[in-house]
Amino acid sequence: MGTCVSTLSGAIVLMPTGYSYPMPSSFVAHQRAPTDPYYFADVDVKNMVVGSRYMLGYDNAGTFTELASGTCSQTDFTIANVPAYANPFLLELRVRKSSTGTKYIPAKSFGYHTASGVTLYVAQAVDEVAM
Amino acid sequence: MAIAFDHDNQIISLSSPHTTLLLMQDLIDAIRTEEASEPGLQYAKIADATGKTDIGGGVVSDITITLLNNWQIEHAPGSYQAVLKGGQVVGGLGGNPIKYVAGVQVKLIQSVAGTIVATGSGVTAQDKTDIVNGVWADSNATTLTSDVGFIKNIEGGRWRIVANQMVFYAADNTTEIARFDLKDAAGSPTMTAPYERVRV
Repeated sequence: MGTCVSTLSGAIVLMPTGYSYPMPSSFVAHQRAPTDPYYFADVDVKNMVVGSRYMLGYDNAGTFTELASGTCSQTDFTIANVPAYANPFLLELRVRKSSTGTKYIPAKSFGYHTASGVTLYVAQAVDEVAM
Repeated sequence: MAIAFDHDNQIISLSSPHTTLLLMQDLIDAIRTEEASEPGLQYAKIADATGKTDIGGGVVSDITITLLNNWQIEHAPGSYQAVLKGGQVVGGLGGNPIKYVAGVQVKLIQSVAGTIVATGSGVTAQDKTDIVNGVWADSNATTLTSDVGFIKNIEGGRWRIVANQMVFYAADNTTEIARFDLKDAAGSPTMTAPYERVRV
């Protein structure tokens, strides 16, 4: 596992753990490609109805692109190591529950992903029409 | 599958048993299930729905489904009449929620004040009593009752000509209910040659 260090030219140099700056005569081990994530951070989700299905993603030139998905087993949980492909990086969390029992109107939550993570709050409304 | 979803083309396809009859309840149930499915989550919401407001006596307002974006309902090919009941569906491509299919005539009833009755008439015995009492308490019903009673008394009670007047009594032959002056052809009071009566 290495530590990412920015060089003056803007390239990122992967250094062995324990080094915090490029050593003289060191070489570039890895350079960040334009498609690589800026960073990875956790996304905290709050207040989701247990049993809801969710999908975390972002708008990629008009197309919703999935980053993570699943079915929640508790109201508050964390989606770990979510990549960011822009800065700021707008995340969209889609939440839907149409399984047995009370059903809920499809809901969304948005938030800007940061290097220190983001918390997305979910507010689901009971669907009085669907059975 | 009776109700199938094509997200790429935004088409809701109907097949048996929903070919000729589609209830709005079945449609919104299927839509919500599809939206919450794993493939459905990758796409935007298909429809909004309102309605089913309880208005008492087991009766609820009907369902209005608004198809979002370019979603449309497409019936299976054939030559038949299809009916959509239990509310209305609006929205869709260009404001048309039903996709044209040659040979299929779709009967879509769109109302602004429809209701859904849960079972039977949805009217309870107490509702019936309240309705009946309400009708009889109306001023029109009170007037009608009084008028019918007057006619029955006129037809069934005592008539009497006295002092150039005709007197009508109720069925008890005692209670006076109407009195008329009798006049002859010249307009003079008479008991023997009446041409006219004038109520007094």
